[in-house]
Amino acid sequence: MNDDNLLVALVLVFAPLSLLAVGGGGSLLGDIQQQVVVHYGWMTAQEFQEAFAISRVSPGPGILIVTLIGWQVAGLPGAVLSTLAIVVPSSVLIYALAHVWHSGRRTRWQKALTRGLAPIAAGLIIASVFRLLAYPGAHPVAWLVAAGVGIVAFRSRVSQILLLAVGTVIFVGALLLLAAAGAPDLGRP
Amino acid sequence: MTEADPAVLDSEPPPPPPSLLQLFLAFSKISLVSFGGGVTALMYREFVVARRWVAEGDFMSGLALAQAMPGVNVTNLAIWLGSQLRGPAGAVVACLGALVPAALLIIGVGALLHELAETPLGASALAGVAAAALGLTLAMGLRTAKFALIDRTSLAVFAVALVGAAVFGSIVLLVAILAPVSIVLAYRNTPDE
Repeated sequence: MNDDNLLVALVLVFAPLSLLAVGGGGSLLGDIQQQVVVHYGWMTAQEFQEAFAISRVSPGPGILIVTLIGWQVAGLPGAVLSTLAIVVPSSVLIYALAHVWHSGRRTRWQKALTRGLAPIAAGLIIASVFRLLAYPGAHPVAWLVAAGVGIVAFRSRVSQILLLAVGTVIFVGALLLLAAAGAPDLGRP
Repeated sequence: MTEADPAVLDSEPPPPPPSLLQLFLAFSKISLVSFGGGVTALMYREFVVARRWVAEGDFMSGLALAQAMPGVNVTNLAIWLGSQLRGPAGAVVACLGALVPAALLIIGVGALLHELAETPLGASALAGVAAAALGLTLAMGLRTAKFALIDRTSLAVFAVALVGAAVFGSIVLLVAILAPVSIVLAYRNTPDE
């Protein structure tokens, strides 16, 4: 793929997703991984996982994983165009609606919009977690850490930064212990 | 959200609308100090309580719009609030504030951590961050499900979205079909007051 085609492909991947980001960027992660890793092969599954981790420790909206992907795939033009592609369509929609969406009591259609999209958002977010954990080469310990952190974060108000740190330490510790105990490296089939 | 005493807020005249630079900086700040959840409460404190750019009722209405519509909540709210305060230029500037500094930062952090990933320990640390962060994403999904699953219709829509996205990966066709159907069904199930 030459450079121009690559930039066009990045925009064509991210622009439609912009309008499908119900419940925020978390809904899109599984689809983005599918396109970037499986369909186009721009990154390996492990590089994608790395980009996801970086997007979670760097401040700012999580959707900036798209900026990082664009940067790694096609440099500065890739980063700029990918970011614009994921932000502009939904922003135009919001801008258009900002003037008809009046404050005060909410109409039946406004309630239906929220109520109709919420179960889709929930399904997409949970499916994204499944797809990001199910990539070839993922370590089984990752499933346990994700499930543990998920349950604690859902049921308590423990700080997210603390959970992220503790989860990471447990994951690395478990891998070191398994290696010391001579267990086969399950992460690299 | 308990700091604001509405009686005190209402008794003072509202401050003049912010300049474009103030809008840019305010959304840069929100974006850069936000981490995972909690950004909504942060924006409430910043825009309703501290700066008093918007009344509480208007903020809640804009927030409902930002959360209901597709897109990132922070940029959606930036577009809405920016356009309320300073028109089209305000919308663009507020959105750029939420994105540009954080985008530059993520490229820098990415370059640093990419080096780290070359070492075995660094690679497993990043894999650990990804696993733990997926746990946080899972919790967000569970919270959304708890809010969303209120009847058989929403449960069925949830199941189709979950299984379809988990099996196929691509969501374009799935959401393009499911979203209008679900909104119409929700409309029929919403009492007309």
